[in-house]
Amino acid sequence: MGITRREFLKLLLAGGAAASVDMTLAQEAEEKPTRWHRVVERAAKSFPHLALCNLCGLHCLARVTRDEHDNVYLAGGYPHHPHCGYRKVGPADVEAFYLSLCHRPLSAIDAELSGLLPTTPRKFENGAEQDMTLDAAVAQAAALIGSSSRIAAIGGSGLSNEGCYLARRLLFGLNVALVDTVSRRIMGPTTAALVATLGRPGATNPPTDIVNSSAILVIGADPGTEMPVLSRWLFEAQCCNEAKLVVVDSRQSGFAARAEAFIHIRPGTEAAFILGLIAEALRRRMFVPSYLIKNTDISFLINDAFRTVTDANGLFSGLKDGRYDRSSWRYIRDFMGRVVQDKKLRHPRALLSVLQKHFSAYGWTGVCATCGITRAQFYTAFNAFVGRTSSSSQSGVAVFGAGLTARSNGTQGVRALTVLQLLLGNIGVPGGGLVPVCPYGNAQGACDLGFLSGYLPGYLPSPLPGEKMGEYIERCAALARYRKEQAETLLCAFLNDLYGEASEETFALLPRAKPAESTVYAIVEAAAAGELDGIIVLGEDPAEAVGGLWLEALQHLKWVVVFDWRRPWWAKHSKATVLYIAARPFWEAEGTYTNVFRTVQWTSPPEGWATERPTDVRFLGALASALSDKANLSRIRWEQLGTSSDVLQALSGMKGKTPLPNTQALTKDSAAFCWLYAGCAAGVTSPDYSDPSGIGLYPKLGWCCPDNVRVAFNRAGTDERGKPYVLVKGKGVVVVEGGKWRGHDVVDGAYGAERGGFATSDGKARIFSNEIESGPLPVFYEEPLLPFENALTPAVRTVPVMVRRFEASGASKSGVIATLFMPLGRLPFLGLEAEISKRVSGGRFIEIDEETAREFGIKDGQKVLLKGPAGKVEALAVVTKRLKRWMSGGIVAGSAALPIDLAARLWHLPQETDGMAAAEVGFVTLERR
Amino acid sequence: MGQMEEFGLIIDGARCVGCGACEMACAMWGMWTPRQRTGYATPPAGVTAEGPTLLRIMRREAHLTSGVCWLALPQTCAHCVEAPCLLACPAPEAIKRLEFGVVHLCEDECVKCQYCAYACPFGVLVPADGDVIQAKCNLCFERFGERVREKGKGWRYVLSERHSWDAPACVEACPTGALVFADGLALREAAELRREAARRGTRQREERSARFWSPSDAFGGSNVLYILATGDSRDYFLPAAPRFPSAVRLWRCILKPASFVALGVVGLLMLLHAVFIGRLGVKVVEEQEERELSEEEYMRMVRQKRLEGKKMAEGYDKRYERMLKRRKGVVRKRRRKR
Repeated sequence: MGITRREFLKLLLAGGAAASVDMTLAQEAEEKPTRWHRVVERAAKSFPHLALCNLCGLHCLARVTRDEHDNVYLAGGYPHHPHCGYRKVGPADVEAFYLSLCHRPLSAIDAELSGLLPTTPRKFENGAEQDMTLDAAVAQAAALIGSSSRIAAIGGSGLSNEGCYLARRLLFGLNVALVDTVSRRIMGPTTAALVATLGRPGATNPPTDIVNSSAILVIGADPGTEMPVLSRWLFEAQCCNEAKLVVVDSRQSGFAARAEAFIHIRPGTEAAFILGLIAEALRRRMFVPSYLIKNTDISFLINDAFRTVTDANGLFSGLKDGRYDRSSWRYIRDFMGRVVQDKKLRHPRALLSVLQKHFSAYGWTGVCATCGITRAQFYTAFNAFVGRTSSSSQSGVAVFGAGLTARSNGTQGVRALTVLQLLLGNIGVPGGGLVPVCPYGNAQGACDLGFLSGYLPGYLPSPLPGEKMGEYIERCAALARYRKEQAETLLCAFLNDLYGEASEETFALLPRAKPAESTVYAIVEAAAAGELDGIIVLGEDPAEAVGGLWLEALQHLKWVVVFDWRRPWWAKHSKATVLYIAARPFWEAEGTYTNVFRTVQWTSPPEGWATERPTDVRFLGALASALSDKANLSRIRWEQLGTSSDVLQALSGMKGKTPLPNTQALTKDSAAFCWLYAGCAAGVTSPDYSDPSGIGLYPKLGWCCPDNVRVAFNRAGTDERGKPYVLVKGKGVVVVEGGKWRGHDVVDGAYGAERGGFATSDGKARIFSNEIESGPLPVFYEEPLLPFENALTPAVRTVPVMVRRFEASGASKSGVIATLFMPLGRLPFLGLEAEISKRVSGGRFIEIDEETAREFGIKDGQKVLLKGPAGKVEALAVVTKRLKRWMSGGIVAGSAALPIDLAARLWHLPQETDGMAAAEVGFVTLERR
Repeated sequence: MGQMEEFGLIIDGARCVGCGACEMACAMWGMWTPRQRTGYATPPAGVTAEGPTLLRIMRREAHLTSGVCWLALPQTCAHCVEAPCLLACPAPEAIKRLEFGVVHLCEDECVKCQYCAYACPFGVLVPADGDVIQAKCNLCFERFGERVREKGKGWRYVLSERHSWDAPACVEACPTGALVFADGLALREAAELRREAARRGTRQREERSARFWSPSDAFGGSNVLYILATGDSRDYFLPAAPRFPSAVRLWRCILKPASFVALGVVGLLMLLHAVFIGRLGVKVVEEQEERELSEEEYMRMVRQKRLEGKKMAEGYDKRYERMLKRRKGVVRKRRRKR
């Protein structure tokens, strides 16, 4: 042993130290407030309150958490609200639950926490910013608006219904004819198609009813980011009802990847795909004849002079000078003026035969070639959706979004989807219907209340320049959806509400513009051409719809008045004076909001909420009274408008001094601004979240327009004796028992079971409609800006009745197909700056397909420059296999996908059909940086 | 696992669309800042200069034989029953597994040693950048309960009724229902139902094998169950078979007990040495030093000692030599200094 005593001691010390190092260190840690302390402390002083999230078209009830200083810092789903509340996994005794909210409200709160949401009005002039009081801002806004004559308004979808109501009255009073909404991207074609086909727009079934579907077709939409909580209901159907979920899109989104089948089609060919499904369903006779004969015009005989695309070489009969003469687009009528029908569907001029002829142009071979898919892929979708829902006892829901609507033939795309659903008997039944995916809060309410150009409130067509009341009513009566007296009643109720009397004189006061000249695209184009003095922007961001064109318009306008909860990010690029009035974000908003499922829900901040931001009603009321001496504002009736709930009462309609109970009570002397909202005040402010039906109808969740009907057109879902086609848990939505309507839902329309169930004058939906300018039957044309030929109707490449025409840029070597997508994890524009969502969402990047990237020598993460007609954008490239290189007719083009908030600077494509849509697919050049 | 009161989480990869709401909600509730990402790249989790990461949304495109597939999954602490981080943590009070099934890191007690980060096999905790307190997911324990100090017993964690939340922040924010909050007993059952749904619903043939992946089966189970759409955890940047990290096992199961044994042995030897040899030897030598023996006397004494016991002779020889040196004044000086 060579160890001395001292060495022993040393070893001992070292060993002891090593063994007890943790003890020593532990003693060193001091007690100081850590992250967790702060979290716990804040949690202890937190208060929740409920606020309706109005950041997408679904409207969940958020439980917003605020700290002791009333700073909102988090939100979660409210457990008892049907859209976002508790769902239990599996049987009731399994204590595993989940609730929902999404990144959109969180991103908004994040923006507030990052200081991006001003609380006071602000003026941006000559590069300087100046805060001001609300009164001063209202006075200045009134001065700007009052001193100009050439005014347009863009907005609506960010306002509450009460705000829309006041704003629209104000605009009528100011003689502003150019009014449109940014949500036209989606709602424009949707509304046009649904109104022409079914008589009323909006999603037909509540979101909670999607669980009852047997199959789901999602086309051209990414519910995962545009209406995130909707995807929960789609998955729920997949999980609880073993529904097949098929996604057809031009980009594999996170949502698409979770679907059972994802069909990757070339951008711009969504409509062709649906036409292929219809053609195949017709060929195999996979439709529901009894439903069709009762509820649609399938048995009507079509005029002999009418020619389909197969006969007229890609066109319908009647094209002259770029417009259709629609005189041949009609039914055969007998000498009494009644439509001649063949209920056996065998007559060669019966609509079914005409359809079969028309759709023979869209066989699967051509459709597969056009869409760039294989036969197997086509049949996967066909079998999953058409195959499963073509029997009358099964239903399926069709979900669509900007990928279908924001196309040069967007209206026809939605029409095609509607026709497909009609053929399969899927409208008016539980688990069926159509759902537009709309990322704009109150888009439905804004469109209902007249913010969509081309319509008065309640989807009456807007009067044309020089039109007299009698002519107008005749024109309405010629539309499928009104009988003459009905059109007259609705118009009178509207005029009564607006001016206090319905007469030729008050009708003449209505501002007029041609529908195609008053779309948001036309408005901003006119502004960019210097034809407008100022634009009033209400709760929206025009850049989301028209992109770079808006920045150009700002150079030519004199002023822009913005009332929005978001700061106008473009104000610093503006030569125009921008007067910004901060509106209330969702957690302090007050009023009712209508979701795309037509449900009207009330929200208000807690008692005594302190905020400098005015409610919609307060600001617009103040603006109206500041302007009261201008134009014919004095003619507008303003009595009984005070607080939001007063305005809600007014919106709900009056007959004399009694409130209207429902639409049936409408008469010529009643006053209802929008007939769809007659009786809407009932029960909206005291919602009941229970579901006595047990099948997901939630009949007292807010109020559903019109008449609190949850499943729209529910009479269509019953056969002629009133027996429901589709039963859920043995129950139908409505049913005839003992000669009377019963069921869990209000019956849509007070008619018997034998009459068609749709909101047209004869109750029959219009598969053949003369209302859409680009054709009476759904049709597909190629996107003008893409370099491809139209393989389905080679003689006619693009929409023949385009309002404006843009040169196709042709296939250039450096070109790629560019499409838009809603970025993950952020609200567009706002989220790029907010502290947390900018980090989670990945910043400024675009997606480029792998082969194109290789060809251009672009590597993942490199900077690229995209040049479009309206500007250029620099971003990081994400090279991905989820996009494809497309080939058609010998032309090859790569693809790029742009988040909507980057694309805004890049390009605007306001080529339109029927004044309805702008195509959000284009051809842009790509450069490596 | 599966105690009555245990909380748990199902993370359903067959439903996650990658929107990031969970990460945002977690950060907004937990007061931490997520890492900046570019595109879809998933940044490494953990503590940086910006602070810790409690949950991260993983997004990537996986190249399966059937084609490319977008995958997304929130990744957070698995709350293992025998948690490696807990074993690795040197501070006795810092990481605890509470009876509600939550592995809780008490940040007051954290000593910033980062051992837990090295121990975690899922990469949920990643070593800190500098002198930062580690933090991890505690299933929003502060939403359901509180921490009370008991005299002499330290901190206790109890459930309380006074809060108004129902689930962790991430669950309340998840739009698609990919995050499910469960009571311990229901957890497996609910996950089984979800897996069946995933098997029916996932798209490609080879993905039909959608399965659970309980990340910590290796550690006595866990209260966080993943359902993976592809059935392969490596597609989600998760380890194929999570193993107890060998370094922690070595340190905690072998080295640390061994060190205590060694300490005991050393102590015992010391004692023996002191009692039987050391004390005596030292005493003799020191006595002699005090008496300032002459050379001759000392040499004699050594010889005598040599006769008494051979063993000590060498040592005394050395001492004798040192004494010789000290006479020359070299060694002595140094000693005095001490």
